[in-house]
Amino acid sequence: MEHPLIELSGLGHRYGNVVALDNLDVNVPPGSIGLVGANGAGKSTLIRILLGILRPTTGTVRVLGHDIPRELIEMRARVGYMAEGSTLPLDQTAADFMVYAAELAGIPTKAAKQRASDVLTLVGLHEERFRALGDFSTGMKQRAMLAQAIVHDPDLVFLDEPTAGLDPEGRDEMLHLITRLGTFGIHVLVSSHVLSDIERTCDWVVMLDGGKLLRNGPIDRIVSSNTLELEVLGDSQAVAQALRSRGAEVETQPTSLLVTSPADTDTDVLIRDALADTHTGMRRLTAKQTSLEDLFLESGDA
Amino acid sequence: MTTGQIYDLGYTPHEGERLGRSGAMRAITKDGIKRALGIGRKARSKIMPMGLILAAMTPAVVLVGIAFVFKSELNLDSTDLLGSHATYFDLISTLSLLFIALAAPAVMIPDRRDNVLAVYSSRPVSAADYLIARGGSLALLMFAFLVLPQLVLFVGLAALDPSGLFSAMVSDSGEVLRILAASVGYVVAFGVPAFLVAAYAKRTGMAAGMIIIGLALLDGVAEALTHSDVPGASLAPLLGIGALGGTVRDWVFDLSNRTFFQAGLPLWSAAASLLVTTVIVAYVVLRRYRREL
Repeated sequence: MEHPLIELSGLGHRYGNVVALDNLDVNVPPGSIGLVGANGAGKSTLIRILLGILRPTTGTVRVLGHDIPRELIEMRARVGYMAEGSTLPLDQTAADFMVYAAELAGIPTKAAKQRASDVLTLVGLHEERFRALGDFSTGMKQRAMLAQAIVHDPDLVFLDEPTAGLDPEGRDEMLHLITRLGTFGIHVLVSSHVLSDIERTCDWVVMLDGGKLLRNGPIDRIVSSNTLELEVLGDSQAVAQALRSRGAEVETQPTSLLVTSPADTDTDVLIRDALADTHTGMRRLTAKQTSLEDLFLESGDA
Repeated sequence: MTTGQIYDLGYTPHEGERLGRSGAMRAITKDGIKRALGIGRKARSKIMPMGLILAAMTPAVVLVGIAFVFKSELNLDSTDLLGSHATYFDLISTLSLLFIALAAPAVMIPDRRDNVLAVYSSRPVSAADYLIARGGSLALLMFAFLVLPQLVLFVGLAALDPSGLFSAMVSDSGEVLRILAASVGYVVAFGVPAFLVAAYAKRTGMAAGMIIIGLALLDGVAEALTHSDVPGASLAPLLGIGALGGTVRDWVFDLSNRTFFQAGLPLWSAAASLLVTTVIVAYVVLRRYRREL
């Protein structure tokens, strides 16, 4: 795919006087994208704009290279959508609805029947395919909704809170399925306020808060930091003092030191010299583990 | 001992044909017809639509059968025995109202009630495409409901004609056009208000009641205003949407219409009123669905 998955330029949306999205400039590459933010951050509004259900108040939107709303139909032919909450006709069987969902994307009936069967097998519902969707458990409904979102082999699928209401086992199964979508050549945009779900399934994150963009980039780069966690055998305060005298920022933890060096300094060398000067042994040195949740809370505090 | 290997077939991309927007609209229309007839649903969903279709067909089949058996003994002209196509509309118009009052909510409401509209927003259709396809399925069904018994009657009349089946069908082909045109009038007069109610109502049973009672009330108000002294009372018959199907039938079959005659209105104005109603309803319903699709 040559073009970005999603391109937003100056995107804004208002509900009356309430600003839902504020001047977003975002480009995201193909892959698995996490859209994170607290409830009310603007995630669902953004997805509805990307699908062309809502018109943005300001700015422009391109999805899979298609300008929205000008090329709405072309874009919609290539995407799938699993909305938050049940979006299934409760009086229909899973098999009938999957065939219909595929036909709705223009897939001929014979191929639609084959794809419905394949996709229901993929999500583990093949045995239940002739049961009415209204008789399904919450976990089965979520899997059926994922099945309808991919039954027509889209290029990009939007998943809005896909693990909402699932028990731990169901959540684990759903996240496993979402992770597999990338291997099928389907790009994914997962919206969630459960940040650990995003860390597990995505390689890029777009973080929103109050309609504003907090962060946008690869998860591994966003969560990595130049802070190291150091555990010493001996007087940790003396080591901390020695590090500070070399220009490092040191935060004292109960059993360790968090060391952040100035931008142009190698932290490893700084620590080696401080340990040598204070004749102190080292028990452990690791990169500080930062989660999306830490980053989100830090950003929120800021 | 046999040995085997388990293959994970995984996921197969679709590399075949995609029919695009037209394929999607065909699928929505087909699904609407199945929903209205209760196909693919529980048995109780089929009882009312199938029962009404049977009720509309039965008089035509019975009359043609009786005429075939007893015509020579009774020595009657076939039209005396079977009645005219225009009067057959009187026989089935109430049934067709009941049919559309049940079908429109069954086609329109579940997608909103079960939040299925979200699925359509990731398929190659716009709100207008969805409404055209859903409305089309209702129009096709009601049209068939009205026309099929008339065609049975038409063929029955032709078969009893002394000139023979084929020559009678050819010489009366104008009658078929009148049947089709009058059926369109009924489809619009009953179908458009039913579509409007079904686009807003939340419960299917309540919607069916609202459609029947609403049309009856509108006809009653139009009738009362027609006989009142209020300014513009002569235009009041045009408000009785449900009755306008019958007026179009009268226009098409060149019959008289007492209400329109007394009001001094030409019969074609009923068709014009239905056209205006259709445009207004289409605009209102499209605005409503654009918020969700």
